Amino acid sequence: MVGKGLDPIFAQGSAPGRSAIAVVRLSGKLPASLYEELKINKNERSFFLREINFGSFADSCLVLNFPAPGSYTGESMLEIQSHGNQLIVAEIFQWLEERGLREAEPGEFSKRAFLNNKISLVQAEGISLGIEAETKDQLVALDSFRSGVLSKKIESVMSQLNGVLVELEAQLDFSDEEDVVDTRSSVIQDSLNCVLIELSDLLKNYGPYEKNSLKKKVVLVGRPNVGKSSIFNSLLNEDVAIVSQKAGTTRDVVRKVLPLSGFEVEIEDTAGLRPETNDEIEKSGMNLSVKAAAAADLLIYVTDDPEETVPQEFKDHSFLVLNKCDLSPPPPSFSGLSVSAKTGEGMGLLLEKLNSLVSSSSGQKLISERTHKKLESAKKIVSKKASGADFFEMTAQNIRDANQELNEIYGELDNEKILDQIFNNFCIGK
Amino acid sequence: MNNIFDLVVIGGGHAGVEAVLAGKRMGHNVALITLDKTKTGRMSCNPAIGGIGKTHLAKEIDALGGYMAEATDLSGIQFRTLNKKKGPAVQATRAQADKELYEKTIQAKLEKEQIDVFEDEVIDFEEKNGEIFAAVGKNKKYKAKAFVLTTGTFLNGAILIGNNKREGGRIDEKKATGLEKFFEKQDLMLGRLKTGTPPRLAKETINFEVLEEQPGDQEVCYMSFLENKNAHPKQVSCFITKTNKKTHNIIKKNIKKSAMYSGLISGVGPRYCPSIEDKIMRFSSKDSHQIFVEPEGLESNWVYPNGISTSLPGEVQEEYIRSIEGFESAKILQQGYAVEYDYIDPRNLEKTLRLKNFKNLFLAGQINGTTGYEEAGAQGMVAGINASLLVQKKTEWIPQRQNSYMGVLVDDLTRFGVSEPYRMFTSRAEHRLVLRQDNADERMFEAGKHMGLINKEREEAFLKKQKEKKQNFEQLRKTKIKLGDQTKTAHDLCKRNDFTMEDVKERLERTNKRFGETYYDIRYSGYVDKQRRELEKMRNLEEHDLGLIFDYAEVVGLSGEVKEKLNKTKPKNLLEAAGVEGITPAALNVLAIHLKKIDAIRTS
Repeated sequence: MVGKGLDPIFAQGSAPGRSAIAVVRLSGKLPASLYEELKINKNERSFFLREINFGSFADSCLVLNFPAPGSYTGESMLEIQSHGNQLIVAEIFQWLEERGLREAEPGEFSKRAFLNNKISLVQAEGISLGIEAETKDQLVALDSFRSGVLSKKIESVMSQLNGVLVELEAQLDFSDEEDVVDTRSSVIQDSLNCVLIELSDLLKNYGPYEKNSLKKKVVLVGRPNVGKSSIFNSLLNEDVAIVSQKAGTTRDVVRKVLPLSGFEVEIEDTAGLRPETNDEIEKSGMNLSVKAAAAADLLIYVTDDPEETVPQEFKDHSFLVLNKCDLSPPPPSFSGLSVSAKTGEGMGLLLEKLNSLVSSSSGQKLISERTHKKLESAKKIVSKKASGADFFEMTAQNIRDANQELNEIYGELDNEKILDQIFNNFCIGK
Repeated sequence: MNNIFDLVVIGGGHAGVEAVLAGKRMGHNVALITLDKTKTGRMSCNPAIGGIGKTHLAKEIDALGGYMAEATDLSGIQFRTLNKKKGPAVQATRAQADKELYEKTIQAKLEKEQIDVFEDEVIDFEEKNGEIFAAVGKNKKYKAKAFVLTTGTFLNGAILIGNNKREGGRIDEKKATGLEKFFEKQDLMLGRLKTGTPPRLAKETINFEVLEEQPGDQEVCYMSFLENKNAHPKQVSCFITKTNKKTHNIIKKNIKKSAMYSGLISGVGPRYCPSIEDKIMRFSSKDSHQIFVEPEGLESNWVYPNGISTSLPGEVQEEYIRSIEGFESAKILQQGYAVEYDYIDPRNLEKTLRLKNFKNLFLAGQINGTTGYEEAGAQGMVAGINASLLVQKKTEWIPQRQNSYMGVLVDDLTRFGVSEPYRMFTSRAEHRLVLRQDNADERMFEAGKHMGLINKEREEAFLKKQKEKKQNFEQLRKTKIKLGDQTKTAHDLCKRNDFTMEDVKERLERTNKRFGETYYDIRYSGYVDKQRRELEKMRNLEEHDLGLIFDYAEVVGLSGEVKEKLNKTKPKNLLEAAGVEGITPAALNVLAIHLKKIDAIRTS
């Protein structure tokens, strides 16, 4: 008796490299001989401790058996947990290939799960984006997309559209019936406007997921020679930016990812700003600084003068940091944060402050780019204004077209090409 | 007499008539077998042709050279355009026909075309290996190369009035017997449907003075594209009255006596054409329902009160009729009744309407679960044409959803089957905007011409109309209009919502009566492009040959139900598979992947 499924495949489910354990997953029509060799009853959903002999050596592995269809892919699946060494994993791969299995294509596990109706297209995308997410914020923002909350909202839009369609079709097909009272086009348009508001809200609240979605950008600005680059290096705990006594040393924007607890922020050091300079290179550097400041989620305005306040143009999302506190302590009236990049004094506080400011979620929610496009095009269709004698038919046509767009979000009408695109975005094994 | 034919059509209703005429036009030796010659082409129910969605079918029949529309023009005593305030895609010409004149017109046509009509009852078929050799009548055997069967409501028909149930396909007419046994042998999933008619009233006993008059349209309109070739007889009005609380009380009090409520009827009736009992019981909040009082003919004393079909006993019918304004002393000439009949699940049919189990047996009309003269006639065309093509050993003709209501009809029937008598609606056509009653001739011309269905007269009328539309089109193209600092053509304005048809028209030097049609051709041209893209997509699916899959049980990823359906229907390609009920796009993907796998194995 062979297992249910397509040809058997395998893939590493854990990250490559050294770790306590490594996970290799198998799915498909797994050969009966494999179960026999592992002394596992094919139909027993359980886990087994097995010493697997790879010829030259053996490793003690935990083998989990998921009989079809109660598995991620809906096929017969086995999961082998070995010790986490890539050399052992390589042996497992070879051992499996000798038994007629092949390594999975990117996204093949999820594709099978989709084809076996284990997951919907949106769920599949949610899984993919969930793996891809780089920050906790992104995961939080993807939550309603991944959990199906969004699908309820889309369903609600579709059912409202269908409600209007029913009204329209009654006017078209049964206008000669006594029970169908004439509906004015303005009434239809009002109902459509309600749906339109709902669609617009959806689009406003849900942005398309991109690699850098929600990744926070922190930019250091200030006059020249106040110690921005020193603070930058100190925050990163390495010498990235060149530091010198000379004002205007930094000409370019220097970027680096700063890992904070649970998420990452991009931090940028910029050229110091001063009103007058004849140096063309410095001028263009300053232009870049202003641009970087404009794109920042958070500005750290660095100064070495306790009297200085944040200039008007940087007032938004910024806070003041007084550097060089080792040279002269800040006056009691100073309300900002005072640090010394040189001695490290106050740097811990600055990190903490960054952490709390950056980790507060923006409330923005994310969905897959494909879903976002579909919502946008549905909105565009519903916004088309019909008028004239054929108002009812044209509007009905628009609603049908819009519903088709919304339907495609859930894979109802998608063609294979889209599927391939989606599933190719998956990393192997998931 | 020589009883060997190319094509034998059984049943002389609206399906049978179009089928036999199509066979004749395509040059075949044809025969029509019917129970009663004098009732050929009879309107068993409402004496009217057309309606929203239905007219589209009637015009398509006409565009293929059929006779329904011409007969309507010759016998129509009132013409109205429905949905006049809406766009052209949902407008429909509806005609009230002189019932007797209509059937006489049909019968005269059959005679003129020298079609052999036999009065006989077909009780069996002679068959070998899925091929029918002869229809066995009580009198004779009829041998032919192809057969079209149109039993209407006569297959195992039963007439029900009150608690009285008797066999028959129409009031006072016998049912067709024997054939149900033939079909039972074939395992074709026979089902049961019902429909009903109202009591017919004597014109002279109705007080028309108190009724609201409903005249026809001032402007003369025609059902056939041949237009004024067939002059209408004298035009008359219809009238409107309504039921009242008293009527409703009478019906409620006697509801148990209705055949429908006493459990005598098992068949499913159409939701959109409910009996008066249903209207009152299901919509109890309404205390009045409209009744259209329609004359059955110019000379006829019969009146058809449309909207109160019933299966209540005769005495109750009389009581509630007399409670209605204008009917106080009305005399019932024929009681209302319900009729129950067998139909064959149309999923047993190819899209040519040929039964899958047989090489040369086609079904059309109510036997396939539909209702309506136009629906029947359209199927008669499809069946008659394909039976003729079979005789000629030519490729079948399948009307497509994208270009006709006939396509929608056969596609819906064969894919989804029916759960109630199937009636055409414009909402069934996803390409509604481009499937207009006025362009049915354009949509069908090429196919009709190719199959030899279009005679010279029809072709000339068609070309003349095309020429007129072209003149308008050229006017629209060459008329320049200044809008602010931009110069547009009148053609550009047709697609804009801020200009009405009249706005555009008055800017043109000259137009002809086809201006509206030309205008809407341009206005909806975007949808024609969309249609074309969709057809291309379908052709792609068609290229995936499923012939290599012998047993769908082997295809992993399909549900058991889907596997079973595919094994049963054996679609030729992905396009056909897409048409199988319950096949999701995900399932299609599984099939496509499976095909790739097979391909990989074969080429490795």
